[in-house]
Amino acid sequence: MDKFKINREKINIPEGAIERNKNFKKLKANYDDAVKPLYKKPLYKDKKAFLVILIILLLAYIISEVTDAESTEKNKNNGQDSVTSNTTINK
Amino acid sequence: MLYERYYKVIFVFVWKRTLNETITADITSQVFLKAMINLKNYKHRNLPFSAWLFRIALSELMLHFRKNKLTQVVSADDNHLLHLIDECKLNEEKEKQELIVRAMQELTETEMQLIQLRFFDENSFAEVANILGITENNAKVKTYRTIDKLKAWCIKNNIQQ
Repeated sequence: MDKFKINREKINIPEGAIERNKNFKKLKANYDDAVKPLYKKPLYKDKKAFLVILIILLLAYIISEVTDAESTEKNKNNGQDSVTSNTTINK
Repeated sequence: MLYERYYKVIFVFVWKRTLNETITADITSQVFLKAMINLKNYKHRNLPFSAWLFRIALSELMLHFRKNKLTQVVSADDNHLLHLIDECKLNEEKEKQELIVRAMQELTETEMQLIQLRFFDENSFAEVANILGITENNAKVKTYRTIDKLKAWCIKNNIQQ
């Protein structure tokens, strides 16, 4: 098979082919799509989004603190129960 | 406006290498899109802006041929071939044109690009160098080496000068 296809005819571009395919609007739209950032504004610069994130984080912190405190209390109670039950068995 | 000014030049450049309207239109629009995106990286070096666009076009074309596993098209009419034959210092006869066309099949992709840009697209060595991203001297050396290769192939195949 030949490496190159040699065209020896004179270049003959169909009439109107260039004008038909010239479309700056389409090119501009493609360009805008290509350079458009995923987020228009970074989250830390958006006051509303920043507040929402802050509230979510605070809630998460509070919930984790509460559950932590509950679990330690439960553990304490369980420990006391086991100590009392052991002493009654020994008696 | 750059688009209005260079669209035709790039369209013709790509057409010569594809001979297909749809593919040419696609590649040409891709060339302008890439040019717009990378316009901030463009550095003026006393060469026409079109040379930079040709460089983008050439890389898009190579990408297209490789991706679709297509044979590259080289457009060279009789006048262009006579110019090349003259440069190879072969007698300008009709059979020589057939021979030089056969000899061109022995060239590598880069060698063919040099011949196309210099003799078929009629660019200066400075433009060829800019399009291929090499120095002007390097473009000259490589082009004349390629001509020597073509000449040697023709002589080897019993062609009298």
